[in-house]
Amino acid sequence: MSALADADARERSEWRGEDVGVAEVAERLMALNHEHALHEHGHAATRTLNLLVAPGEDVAQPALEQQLAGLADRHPSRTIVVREHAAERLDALVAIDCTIGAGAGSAGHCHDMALLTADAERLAHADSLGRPLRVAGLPTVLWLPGIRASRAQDPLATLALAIVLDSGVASGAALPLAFARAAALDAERVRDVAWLRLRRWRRHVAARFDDPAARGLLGRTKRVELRSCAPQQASALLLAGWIAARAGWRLERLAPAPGGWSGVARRADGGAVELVLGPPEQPDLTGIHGLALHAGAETIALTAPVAAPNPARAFAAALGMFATPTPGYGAALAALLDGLAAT
Amino acid sequence: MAATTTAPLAESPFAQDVDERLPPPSTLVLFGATGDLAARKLLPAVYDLLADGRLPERFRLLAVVRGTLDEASFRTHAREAIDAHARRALDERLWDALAPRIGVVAGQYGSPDLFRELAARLDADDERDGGPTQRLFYLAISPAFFADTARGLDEAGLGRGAEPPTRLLIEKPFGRDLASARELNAAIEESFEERQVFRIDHYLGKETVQNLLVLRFGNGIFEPLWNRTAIDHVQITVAEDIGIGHRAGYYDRAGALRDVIQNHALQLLSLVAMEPPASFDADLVRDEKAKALHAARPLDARTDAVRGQYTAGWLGGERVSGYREEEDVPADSRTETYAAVRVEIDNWRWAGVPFYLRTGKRLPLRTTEIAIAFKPAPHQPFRGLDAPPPPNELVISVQPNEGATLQIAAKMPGTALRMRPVQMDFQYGTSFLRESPEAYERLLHDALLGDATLFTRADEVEAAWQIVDPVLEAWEDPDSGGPEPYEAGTPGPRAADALLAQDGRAWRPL
Repeated sequence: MSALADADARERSEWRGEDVGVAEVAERLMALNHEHALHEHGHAATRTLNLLVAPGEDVAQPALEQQLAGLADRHPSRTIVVREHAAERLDALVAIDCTIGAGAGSAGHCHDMALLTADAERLAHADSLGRPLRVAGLPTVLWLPGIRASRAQDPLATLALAIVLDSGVASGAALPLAFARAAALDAERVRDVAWLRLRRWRRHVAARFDDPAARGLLGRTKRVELRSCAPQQASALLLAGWIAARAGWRLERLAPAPGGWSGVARRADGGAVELVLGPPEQPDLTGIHGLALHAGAETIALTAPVAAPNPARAFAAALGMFATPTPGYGAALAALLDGLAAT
Repeated sequence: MAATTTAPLAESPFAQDVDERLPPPSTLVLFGATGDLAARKLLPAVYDLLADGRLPERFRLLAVVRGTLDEASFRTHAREAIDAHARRALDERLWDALAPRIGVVAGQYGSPDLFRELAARLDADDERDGGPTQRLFYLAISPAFFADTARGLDEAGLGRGAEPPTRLLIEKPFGRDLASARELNAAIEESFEERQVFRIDHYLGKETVQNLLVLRFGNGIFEPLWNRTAIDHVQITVAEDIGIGHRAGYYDRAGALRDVIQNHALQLLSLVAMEPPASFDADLVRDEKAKALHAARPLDARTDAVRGQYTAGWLGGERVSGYREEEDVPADSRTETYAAVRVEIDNWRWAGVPFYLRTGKRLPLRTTEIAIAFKPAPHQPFRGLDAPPPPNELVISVQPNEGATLQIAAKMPGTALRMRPVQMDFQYGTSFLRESPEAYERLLHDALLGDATLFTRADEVEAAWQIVDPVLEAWEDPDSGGPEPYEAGTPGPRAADALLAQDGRAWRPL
């Protein structure tokens, strides 16, 4: 065991084992917690969730650790990461990470983590690895970082109340894959960060179409324009898919185009709606910052001022909303996949 | 594809998928826009609501200022206030979106010209921006001007029956006793209907206070115990470590009973004591709160109330002055800086369960909490114990660390049977990653939506005055003695301890 302290007041105690059984990992986690309590650091073990993590091959471990460290301050959890390696055995690293409260009277908190690395066969039964390590009584959330699916994804999903992913990590030609992967999961349980980023946009769109005159335009719309920066393309596409789905339009085509995406939707009366998702008019703008629906000379334009996006906040918010349904997401995703499939 | 005709949609097809509706197009008119409350709380709250995407697309802020302050100067002032006090860092793009929505109307509050000019400006802005906006008048000004301002607004066509609709937002104090509160309510009622009046008690905007309702009515385990059968007594503490700062002018006329007990503390009491509402509808919730306050027995100054006044002492390693040495406080002031009361609620649920309320300045720490002290177990089967375990206690911490703690007895590890109280802890900071919105954000947003649940109704205000009025009257009698001195940094006057000791109880330590 090693105890590390660094300048930004974090402490870690850890244990590593090679070719171990999951029962031993569970014992080591418990022992580490007891030992930690005996030191009387005065930092409460804080766990708001069982967070299962199944990174795809495209997610490097150092990058994942960096994300987890950032997440810990916002959402300390019993974290169980399951990765694949070639060797036919289970290796484990278990650790307790503590954030030391700065200043007299401030509270510190600690949370624990198990990194399990195993062969493909074991990963296909990853639920049997995750189940004994969960803290009883805490909700379980599965996080799927990256774009590619891990072999552990489906078995771990059976343990989870909610599945968090971010379609927004994909761009260009990889976006359809990300959407298809999300659609293959149980839409009711998926919390897609790219969709949750749209909360304020969805509120604004809903409010704008409270006006009966604006609603009337939905039946005559000929062109929809969405302006967004490149990292927000997934969100912009989901917004377009949602508008189409709820307006009663069917997406007939959707494909990458220079600077963005373009497509065609069909209104219920048979009229065509051109979809244009382009880059921002000012290159320094981030996020989605403009939506316009045109019907001949009539236009409805919406802007929703947003602060610079904070990826950590967006992800933490997605985790925090594990118990909140995301109505409209499934419809948006289905509309997009219709358009992509037809292309 | 065959063309079909589609009928216009009856409602927004997008509304079904949003978790929270935006308020309708609105103009917030801020009287006292250059004051301290506006700078520290209201302007930052507007900015934070914008940053959170909770303001409508058509939102304007119109600052009513005295004198001739121009728009550019006020915007500079607003920007500085937001930069200093908003929850979120100032983002240039957000500020660029907000700044053009801020306007100024300058004049004298008492002048009819000001209200006529305001009405004309509101209409002109609406016409320019493409449609009517609801108008909210926030009076961040001295309560002495509430009635006149309400009348001025009404005379300019912005009060009762106004179209577009209007609302009036005012913040305590609502009078200085029952008679003046009735007078104020009546004066306001001449100009605005009660449903238009949003009385702010900012404590009700705090997350934990709202959580109290969820704790009580969203969980199955507490409500069956929430009565005289299981609860021994309730303590509500609003303790401050600060003195009166530069508020002597107001505070020396008010005192702790008016400043905190009559409003914040009794509002907390009403939430603890109320019956379950049939639904979370504004009037149903407020009906139940008002009933609880009406059931409270008016206080008897001789037996139910204690007052104190701080003298010089030590706080946090610093020597601090006594109240009478504070700036602008008369050397012979009899104003209480500490008040503790025992409230009895005469109904089936609470008969015989005292509610002890205390508040004070220059106490050892800043904390607001509600402690529900349960009755001890009726029989202890554990023989040979030195002392029975302390009774269970549920402590709801309102500030500074929002959360709740349930104290239970647990066996200490070992061969001997020893018990020790342990705490089951829920802290907002460690259980939810989302930052809580500031109380004013929540309240402004609710007012924009027209949801009055977290605002105090006229009858609640009057019921609360009715409870404390006998004590105010008694304490104003020059022959009634004066407040008992207590040293700054201590938990209050000895008489406060005696108030509970006579019932065989003690305050939770501060």
